[in-house]
Amino acid sequence: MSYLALLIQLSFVGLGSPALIGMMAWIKNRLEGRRGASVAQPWREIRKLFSKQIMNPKHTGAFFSIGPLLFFASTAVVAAMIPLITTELPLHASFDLFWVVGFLLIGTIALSLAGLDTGTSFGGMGSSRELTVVALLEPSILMAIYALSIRANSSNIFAIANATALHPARIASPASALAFAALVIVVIAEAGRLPVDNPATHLELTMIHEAMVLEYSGYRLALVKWAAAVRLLLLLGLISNLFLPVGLATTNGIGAMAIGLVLVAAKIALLGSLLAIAEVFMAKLRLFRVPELLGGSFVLGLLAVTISYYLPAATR
Amino acid sequence: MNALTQGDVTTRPLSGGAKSQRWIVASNIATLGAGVAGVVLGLEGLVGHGFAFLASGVVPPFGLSIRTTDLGSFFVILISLVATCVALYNFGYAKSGHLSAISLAIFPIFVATLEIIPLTASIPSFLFFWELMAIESICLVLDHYQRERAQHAALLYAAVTQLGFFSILGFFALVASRSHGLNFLTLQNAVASLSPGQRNLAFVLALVGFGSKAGLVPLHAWLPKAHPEAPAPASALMSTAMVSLGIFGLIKFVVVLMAGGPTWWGMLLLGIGAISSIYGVIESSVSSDLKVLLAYSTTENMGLATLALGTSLVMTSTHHPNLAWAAAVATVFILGSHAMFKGLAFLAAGTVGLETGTTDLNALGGLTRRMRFTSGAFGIAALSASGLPLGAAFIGEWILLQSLIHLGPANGLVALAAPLTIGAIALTSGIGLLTMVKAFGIGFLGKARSDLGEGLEERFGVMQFAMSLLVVANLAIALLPTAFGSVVKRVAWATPLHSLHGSGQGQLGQLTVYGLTGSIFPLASAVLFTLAVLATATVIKLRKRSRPSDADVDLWACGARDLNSAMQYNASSFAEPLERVFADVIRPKRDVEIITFEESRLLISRVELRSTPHDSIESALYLRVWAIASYGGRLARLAHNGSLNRYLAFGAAGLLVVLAVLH
Amino acid sequence: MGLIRRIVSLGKLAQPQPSLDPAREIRPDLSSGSLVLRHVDAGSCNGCEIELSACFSPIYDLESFGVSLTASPRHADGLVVTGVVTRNMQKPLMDAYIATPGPKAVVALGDCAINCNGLREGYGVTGAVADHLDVDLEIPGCPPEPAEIVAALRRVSKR
Repeated sequence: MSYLALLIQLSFVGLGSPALIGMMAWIKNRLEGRRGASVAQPWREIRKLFSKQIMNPKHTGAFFSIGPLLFFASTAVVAAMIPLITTELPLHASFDLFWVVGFLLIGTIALSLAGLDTGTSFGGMGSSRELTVVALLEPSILMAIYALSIRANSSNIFAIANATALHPARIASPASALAFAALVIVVIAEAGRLPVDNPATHLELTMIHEAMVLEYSGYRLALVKWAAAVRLLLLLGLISNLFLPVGLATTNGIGAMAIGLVLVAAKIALLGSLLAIAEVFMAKLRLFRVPELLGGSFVLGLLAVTISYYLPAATR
Repeated sequence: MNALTQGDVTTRPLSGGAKSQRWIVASNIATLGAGVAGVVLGLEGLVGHGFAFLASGVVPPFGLSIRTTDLGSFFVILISLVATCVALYNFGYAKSGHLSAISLAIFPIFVATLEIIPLTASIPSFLFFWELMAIESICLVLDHYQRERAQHAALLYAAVTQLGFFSILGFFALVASRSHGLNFLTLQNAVASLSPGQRNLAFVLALVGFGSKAGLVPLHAWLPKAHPEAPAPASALMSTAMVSLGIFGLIKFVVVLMAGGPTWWGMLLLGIGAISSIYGVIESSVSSDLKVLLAYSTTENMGLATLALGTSLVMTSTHHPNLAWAAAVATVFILGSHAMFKGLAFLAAGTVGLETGTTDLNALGGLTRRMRFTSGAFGIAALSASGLPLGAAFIGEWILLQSLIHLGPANGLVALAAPLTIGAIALTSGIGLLTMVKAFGIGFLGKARSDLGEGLEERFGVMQFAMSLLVVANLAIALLPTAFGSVVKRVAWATPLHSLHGSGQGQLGQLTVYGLTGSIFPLASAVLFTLAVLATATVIKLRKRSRPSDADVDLWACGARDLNSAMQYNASSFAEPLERVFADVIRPKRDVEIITFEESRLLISRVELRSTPHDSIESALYLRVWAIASYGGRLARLAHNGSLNRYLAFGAAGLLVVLAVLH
Repeated sequence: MGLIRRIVSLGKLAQPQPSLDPAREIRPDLSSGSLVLRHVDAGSCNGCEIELSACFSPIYDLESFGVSLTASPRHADGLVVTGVVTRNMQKPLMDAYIATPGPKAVVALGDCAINCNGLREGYGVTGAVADHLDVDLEIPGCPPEPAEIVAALRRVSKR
């Protein structure tokens, strides 16, 4: 039964993630007074790319061709390790938050190496910038995880979600709020959204993620785009279930899973909409201002941790 | 005699002639023998019955005293595993003539010395071999002694290592002052009778002495200077086995012999560990020489090990035995995995240096096509070092994090220290990631950044075999950490911090820490990952007919034509954004010179950017110490002007002072 | 706050476009509903560029019909070329075409791209786009109006 749950979750993530991107683009378009493309547009694009020609540039190494594959596969593995619909997934006792976040970084690293392997200045530039962001992001991630782990006394995702479910008062605690704010900044930076990176830009001066994938065509580009969408969905799903595990099924009953599916989709859609709305009001930060933002996220995480230590257990 | 008339032993090519070939083979077989013997002895000590003896003839007049302990045996195994691989590697490396006769002679003795140190059981035996190790390693740094940089590095290393030695000497003098024997076992009983002040002083002396060997900040500056000069196999040994012995000294003498101390000991270790790891990784990230980068990364990892050790001490003194134990296990894992991946990285860097003649990242690139095995080996080493899941370093860091997150409600300094510790670990692992991507991505991927010569495609030889052994070790730690559970348990137990039995047992490869909740399952993730890659690749292959056939084209590169390899990002530019962020720490030295045409100052003919790598702690601290020392030297020189009368007067005055004091 | 008020007061700016006539659709192999174009200015006076960028404004909102512009021809399904093909841009144009993965379309935007618009004899002109590449779609006008461009490109994107 847990394998059926896993299958449902993987299908939800795989099929839902382009729709999430499409929905966010649609909201932004509507706020800008546009008609907006259909929510299914990212889907069409990915499907189209799978049947396009593959261009193998000369003088690129093996990492160039397997980079997207590793990026996609690592994302798929993470998709099987995060409880979105039900807690009864196979091997759930070993789904450690540190491990999951680290695994996401494996994909980032694979793509950065692929960027370097092209031997172009753009690939190297994107890779260097991405790694700088990641290097400064990691402290915030770990700090936020730490803040959540202290009160659950474990860094296991299920333990954290359960601890929140058992003590609903904690949802609104100051530590929660601070850790949430820190994690939101992390999600924005990790998913390459405004104001850290602009997924719609191809300007040399500003692009981070896009610079690494300039040379890709066909299914390689499709894998990268799809995996990027999945990562955004997973990160949003992760924070919604860590901070508000409402509806997260604890059994494998069909009814419970259906409720879980609907609720998690609603939570992700809500978070995605808020993100899209916020993006309308934001401009991209200068690259060298991004560390300040990430530093701010780190301080929020640190405050969350310190509060967790000093406040009495009931209110943590 | 011939060597003397030529004036230089090392420049004589050893590759020619049957005699030198025999010399190489003899040296390597001896090193290999020492390595294998070390593995056997270590296993005997750890899982066998152990042994103890006193060889009275070896270190006169006290005799060599040997006694196996779990901790010592573990370090012997660690050292001898690396040594065995290095010995195998040397069969290929020495053939190319890159090892001088002196280095060849020293290698087996060095390995034997390293293996004896953890087993010594008395102060004279320990000090004798400790000093022997220092001298041998200085000789290895001086492999190319005619190079000025090698001389400078060896001098700095000698100064630091002697400072450390005197510090250790002081430590032993203090600790043994109430003891009736020089044996560690008798010493252990006498330590309890020391006053707190004496114990604190002893701790600080031990920290300086062993910290200098482990390359902890601020006594780290010799590492990045010595490693580029020493031959790669020697670097591999020094950067894994020798620096680990620094941590061994801290565990053996601070934790075991003195049985820990007040909380501030742990705090101090934690602080120094945190500073070392952060400073080491930042300097590592901006280095553009592969071996310098790896050397700074050693400071980083030894900092992490010290941090874990400090956490263990803090947890002990604040009565968290489970957590103290977890941190001790983390220390052991960090040391073990570091030895494996750093040894592998240095051997791979050595192969690169051998094949291309340089280890400068700004000259390297495009090695994956030419050197498949070495690139793969370095890739595994970099993955392990980066602290990512599926890498060896992750295991130790994860256990350490587990120890910290289970702390629960704490108060005072500990509640403040724990988050800062996690912050230090996090910053270290984040920048470590960038460093390792840079080392691998710039050094091995892309296009060659300079003319690296035409090389034949790499074949699987004895050097590659040696590296593949270490690859297996790395993967084993990363994917099946539980296989080492029973060993680590005994070693961590040897640090008498707790009295707990057993570690959590899960499914094969599922790692849990005793008494703590949470687990990871690296093997399952690895299998899943492999399956996901294969499944995606298969689907794509099956759909091949639904798309136009693949095309081989030129790089798009945003329309740039005549793209040359100098237009790629290089090591300096890759780390430049980070260098900006940490400009206050590393204080990069930059000169921009704009040269204009004579006719008009508005027309620029050339812009020169010079960026000089340097160690900000070294230039801030060492140069000042150096200035004070030379000022003192000048003052002292005023006193001895060569006049015999004055010296006699000094003697007489000294005698009078002594008499006055004694009276 | 000012921005929110503007968003509310402006509402939807996009003007309704006529529905698509299936009989006029071209290139059935590009039927995914997504058309990503790389724009190449082969020697234009920038008149067509102004109109092209107007197509992506909220008024015409070409993106809502599945058409978008990209910087890398590797990501593109075709080229949209403006202006006569000049000597200096001939090679870059061909480079961009070769760099585009198939199946791919070529759109000639404006009279200059279609027939040189009287500039054929210019010393720097090598001809119209059709002299160098197979053109799938011609959008005449000097410059064509955004509504015409939108209508023409929808024949390829089929949305």
